[in-house]
Amino acid sequence: MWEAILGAVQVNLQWSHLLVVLIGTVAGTVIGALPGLSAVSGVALLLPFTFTMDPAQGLIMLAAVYMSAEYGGSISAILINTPGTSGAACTTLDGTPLTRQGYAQEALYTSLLAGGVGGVFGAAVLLFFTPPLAEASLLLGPAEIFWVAVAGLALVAGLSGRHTVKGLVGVSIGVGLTLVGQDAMSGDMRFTFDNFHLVGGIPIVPALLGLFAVATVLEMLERANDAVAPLVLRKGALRFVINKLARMKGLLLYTSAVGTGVGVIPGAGASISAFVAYAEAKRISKHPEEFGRGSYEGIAAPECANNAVVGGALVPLLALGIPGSGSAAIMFSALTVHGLLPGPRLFTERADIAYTFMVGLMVTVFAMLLFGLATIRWSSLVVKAPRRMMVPAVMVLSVIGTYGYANSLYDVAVLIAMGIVGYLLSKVDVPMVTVALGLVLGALVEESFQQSAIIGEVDVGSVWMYFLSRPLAVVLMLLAVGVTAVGVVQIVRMRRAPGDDEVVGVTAGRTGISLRAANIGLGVLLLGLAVFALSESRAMSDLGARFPILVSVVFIALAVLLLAVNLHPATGRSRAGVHPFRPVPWGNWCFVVVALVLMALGASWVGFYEAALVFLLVVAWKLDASSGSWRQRLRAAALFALGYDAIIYLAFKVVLEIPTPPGLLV
Amino acid sequence: MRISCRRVLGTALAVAFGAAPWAATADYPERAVQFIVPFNAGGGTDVSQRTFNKYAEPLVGQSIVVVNKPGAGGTTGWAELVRARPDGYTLATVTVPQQIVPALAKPRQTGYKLDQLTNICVYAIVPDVLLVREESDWKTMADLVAHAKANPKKLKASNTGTLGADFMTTLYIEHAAGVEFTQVPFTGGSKALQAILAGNTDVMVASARYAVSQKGKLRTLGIATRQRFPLVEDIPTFVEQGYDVVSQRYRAIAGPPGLPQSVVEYWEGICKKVSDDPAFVAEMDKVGQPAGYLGTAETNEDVERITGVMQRLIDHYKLAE
Repeated sequence: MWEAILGAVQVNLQWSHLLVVLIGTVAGTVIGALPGLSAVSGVALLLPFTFTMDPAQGLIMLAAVYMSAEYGGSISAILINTPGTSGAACTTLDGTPLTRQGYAQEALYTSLLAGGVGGVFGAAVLLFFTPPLAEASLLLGPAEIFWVAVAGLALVAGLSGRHTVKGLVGVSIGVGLTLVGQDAMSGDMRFTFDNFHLVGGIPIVPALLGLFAVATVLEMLERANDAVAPLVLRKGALRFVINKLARMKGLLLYTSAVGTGVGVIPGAGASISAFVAYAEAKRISKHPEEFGRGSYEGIAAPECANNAVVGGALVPLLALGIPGSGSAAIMFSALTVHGLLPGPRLFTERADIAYTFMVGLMVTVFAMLLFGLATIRWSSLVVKAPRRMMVPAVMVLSVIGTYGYANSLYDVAVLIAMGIVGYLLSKVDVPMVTVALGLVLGALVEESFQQSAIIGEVDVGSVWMYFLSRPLAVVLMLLAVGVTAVGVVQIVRMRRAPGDDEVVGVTAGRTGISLRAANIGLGVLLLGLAVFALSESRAMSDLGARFPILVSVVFIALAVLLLAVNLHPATGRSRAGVHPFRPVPWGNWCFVVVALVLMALGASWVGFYEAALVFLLVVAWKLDASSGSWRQRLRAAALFALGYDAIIYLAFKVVLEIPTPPGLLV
Repeated sequence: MRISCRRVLGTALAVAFGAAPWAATADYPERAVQFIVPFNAGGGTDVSQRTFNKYAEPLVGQSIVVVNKPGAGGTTGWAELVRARPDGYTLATVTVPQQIVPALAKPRQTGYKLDQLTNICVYAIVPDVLLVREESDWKTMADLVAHAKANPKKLKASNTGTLGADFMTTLYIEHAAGVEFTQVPFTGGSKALQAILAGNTDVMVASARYAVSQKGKLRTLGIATRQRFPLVEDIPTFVEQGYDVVSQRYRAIAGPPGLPQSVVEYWEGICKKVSDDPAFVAEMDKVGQPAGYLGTAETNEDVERITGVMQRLIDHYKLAE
């Protein structure tokens, strides 16, 4: 084995290999940072280029894209509260507060270095433990995956802070959204309204983009200051972060192991590992109260885990021919194009390629670190962009990222709808990250339960006997119970301690509807949805109706709770004085939303880049609060719109060749 | 100002309505041809279509642009196809039999009717196989069928989603052999594969690719071709073991309804030339999706035959709503 590794090291240090790693790293970081384009899309975009390369080289380039995209995703998560990849959703929780406090650079260094630790860990595990781990991964069946996913859902307590009920509302809305579409388990059409687009379900990438990117820029409209956040480029930021990380060695090691372990499970990827790592970090931290307010541990843990996933996801790919994630599935294609079939025979017949690849993965981590270190100073400048540019720029990026995902106007509709829903929900204290958690885990919980039920009934008579018959499932079941218990304890403790987001009455000026009224509205809405879902579920098969009924019951319980608290005179009154929608500048808000809808519709008439140009110009001009004459403001907006549209065109049309609705000019 | 407005409107109208008459001229194709691939970039169908395009482009003399429109087992993409203008500039990859079952079983929610897809040709043929674990006692289909008959509904079969291609072929085999399995649906081939490798399920029906890649871990009991298949010569067909199951996945090319006959013939010719190219054949073998050509008439005939089989299964197992 050592001989094989040494040989592989030599191959990897050739200039041509280092060059493809560099290309992959640059591409991966940029693609990861762009909202909507995830690691999977990056790997898919570069796949055709590997057809003509030597197989090991092509694979390493894809691995470099995969690895660095997981870091790239956190750049936008930290700077603009928009996870570039779904694995970075957790990073927004502490990355955004740090950026708003002026510590964008420190947050980025934390993400990069923690990702580096996770990446090296995952790659080392891949190199040394692939055969035994691959065997172990077969112990993880539907029963175990179900309990891992339930433990994941239980994390909602750790993610929702003081607003536990609202967190539960968020997570059940997220799960509810995953029920739309044709059910793979029963074949039933659920909540599709006979629309062929809805048969495919709510696409996760556009939905997450809407929840984070669109909702975030809508929120930016509320703030008066023109730049997104202050930025202080401190000398010694890197040293400061290294010292911080040196004090959390145990956490880094632990979350690396979590990430690699989750990566090995088929179907569970970077996003789940990041959620688990974040909640675990909060649980074992000495300062859990800092989480969500700019904790460095809160960035390090998910970032470490989502890079550690890469090595883990490749274990079952190389040894068993089972890709552990979407990106790994595309690497499967890359292998087959070269006539190499991932599976038991790859290691025995083409050990040279397997080892070159595994050593190469280690090299990609160092490339990611070097490229990251070289560019952090520059990328953190993004937060200095004024709001009038940031709002239209992020929206255009989200729309084109959505096209890059599946080239469909329907997905753009999902993006905009989820943006509006996410924004309104976050106004009434439903944390967006809990909706994301439900979206990511909902389908996994349902399918693994149904599979366990089917298998359990054949093998041992019932699903619960089946769970109890599998020791690892029992361990994970206890873990899920433990996570829930810890969550409950945290909530109780937090309720007792006074917090800075205590309900405060604000009554001055134009106020709009109160939190009390909004909560009652939310309760009624949930009730209505539950009644609708229950009536629809009567047309479904028993198998297909199981989860819609369960989610409806949860909706009803939450609605009753919301209504009881808010209609009760004593508890309702404290909420009657809070006006969550007061800071919303409805004029600008409606203008931007309508412009966004018109751009999306206009794109299919006059072309995407033409529509985007008009959108950028109009929104930047409208949001310009400077005192210049209208001529000056128009000129500034036009310059920005032309420049930005040109950059987008070059990046997406010329370099990435992402198809968009064709237009009159381009 | 007013004039330029009118000019813009005029251009827009010309673009919107003026394109149709250009189709089917002698110079076809005059610009890039768009191929809808209704599955994810980088997946099996995507790779095979891109491989085809690589060999077709020099013959066509125009670029062929792949547009991935994944969703709902391909049906979203085919729904988009039948809504496209039949000018020969929008075509799609169709994976037979995946386009058939939804249209028959869930007609209201499927965005196309089968007769709206204008089939042109088939360029790759991937047969279905039935796999069990290497350490199991079943060496032939007869062993498996005997066990299944003695233990009805006790054998678990992995598939990639109810009403999907694997699900239907499994029913096809159950029906032909007179046995009943319990099907366990998974989302995606990798989870279905993991389940059988781990022993959570006993049987898996999947594309012949697995017969090669999982050799040593999984044993292939039968292949759903009429004659033995060159890629895996040693594996007996279902037919020779006495079960009338012929089921293969085709990578086909189709267009919207009303596609001019000249365009159909044009692409049939391209398809034939590409399929005859030994380099194409070698490359498709490598990606585990063996090249295989069927002309328009044969494609239509076979789609009709498979539609009949699927309809009988849907009726027999009461799968339609």
